Amino acid sequence: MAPRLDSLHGKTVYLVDTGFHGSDVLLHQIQAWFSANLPDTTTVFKRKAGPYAEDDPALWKEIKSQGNAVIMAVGH
Amino acid sequence: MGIPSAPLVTKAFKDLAILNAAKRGMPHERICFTPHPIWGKTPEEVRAYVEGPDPVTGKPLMKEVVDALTVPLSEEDKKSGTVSVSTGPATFTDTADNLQEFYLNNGYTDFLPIILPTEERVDRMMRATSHKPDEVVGKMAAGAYPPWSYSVRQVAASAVMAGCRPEYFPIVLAIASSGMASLFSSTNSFAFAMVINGPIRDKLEFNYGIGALGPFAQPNATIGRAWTLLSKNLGNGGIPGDTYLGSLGNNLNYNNVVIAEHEDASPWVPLHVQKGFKREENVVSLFRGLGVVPGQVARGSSANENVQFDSQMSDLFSTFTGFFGALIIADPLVAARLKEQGYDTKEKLIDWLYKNTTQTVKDYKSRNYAYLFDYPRALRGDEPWATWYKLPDDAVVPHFPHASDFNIVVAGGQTNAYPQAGNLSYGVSVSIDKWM
Repeated sequence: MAPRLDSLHGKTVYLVDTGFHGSDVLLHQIQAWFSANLPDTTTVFKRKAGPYAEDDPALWKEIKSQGNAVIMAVGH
Repeated sequence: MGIPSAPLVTKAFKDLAILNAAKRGMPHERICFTPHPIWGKTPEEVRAYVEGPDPVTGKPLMKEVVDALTVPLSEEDKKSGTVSVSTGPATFTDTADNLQEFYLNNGYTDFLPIILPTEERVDRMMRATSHKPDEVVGKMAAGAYPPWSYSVRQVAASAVMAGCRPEYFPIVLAIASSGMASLFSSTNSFAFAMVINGPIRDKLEFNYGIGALGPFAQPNATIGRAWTLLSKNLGNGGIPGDTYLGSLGNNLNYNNVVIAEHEDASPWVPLHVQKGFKREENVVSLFRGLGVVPGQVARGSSANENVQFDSQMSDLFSTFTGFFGALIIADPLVAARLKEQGYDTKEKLIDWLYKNTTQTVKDYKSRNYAYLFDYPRALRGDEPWATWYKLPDDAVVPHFPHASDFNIVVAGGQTNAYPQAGNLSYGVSVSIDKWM
């Protein structure tokens, strides 16, 4: 596993929707939680391209270059 | 990626998520859980989940998420490893009754009595092929586990257990060589089918007449069962909660849909010839999808001499997911009538069905499978979905994305003019002759 961050203050967290039903609703609520509770953390919502079991290397590349952490939601 | 991540999983998949992380070398991955299900809940209900506790640990969910990303990894967290699965001893020795119990209690069966795979029976089965007992036949994967490979001898044990006669064995080997399991981990409770073509249908006395899809002939019954048993015992499939997650399950998994095509009564080229084989070759073709529906549900009456079977078939597809294809199983009476309607080839009928089985974009987008599978493909620019998602709601699109999603076979006893249709996708055709 990758080393953890000292904190999420000032960091960018990607919220990745795998595509399962309801994942988008969950992640938007998490986004709202961050706005209310950690307002200096930037959140970026993304739906992963391709069916849930397929890789999305373009998104991983974007996250690696522009993000500091990922929350991936499965829903179901 | 090299940056911290926190996966969120609903509680129903707790054990599976932890196990799958371990299988991939992260036995201590920091997985956070929400109540189950998320699907169908309002934003307000989901907000309560987010502001409430993780149902597994009882701690505030978002504290767990933030901690998962920020609390330094311990030495224990950094440990990696994978899950190993025992394939068990090579042989067992006990009384026949005890061995039946042993196989049953260890999950080696479909919970029906088996024929015990004694060394003598397995040897007799193996004499029906020219291939060596220890030759590797293929490999199958289940869930997130690495694939298992298996030998002729191991496939023979499954064939014996299912009740196959030795002369059926080349077909079972051909199926096993495909690597396609008949049990799949999806929550959608998949079904599987096979189509048998070639002279072997008569040689082994497959039933393709009255009750073609029913329990009326030994090869139809046992070869399909062997597929499921080998998928369990050689492919590691069918473990509920681990390598099998179908919510309702599927009764067709007991012996799958086994269709010997009624080639002599068909006005069309048999399936295996369509797939590039010669008519005299023996071939098994495998399909995967959701199940089979009867033609009786379609509009129109078979008592009406002008019944349009093309429209009936199109009607059958209205509830099908376009994620899988359509396998039409036409009684010879239906096939003959279709030929009279002008469909003297399967291709003509498929072309008509592809162009005339349609839906509005609004209806299409409202389908579960479209959101789950096609929309993310559209995001990636895959066609035709990328174009479909740009069309207005009242535009009309095909129910299935490609004409090649249709397959047609002929089987049945001509006692009534009904088709059946499977929401099943073609997978692969395998030579049986190569395994003789």
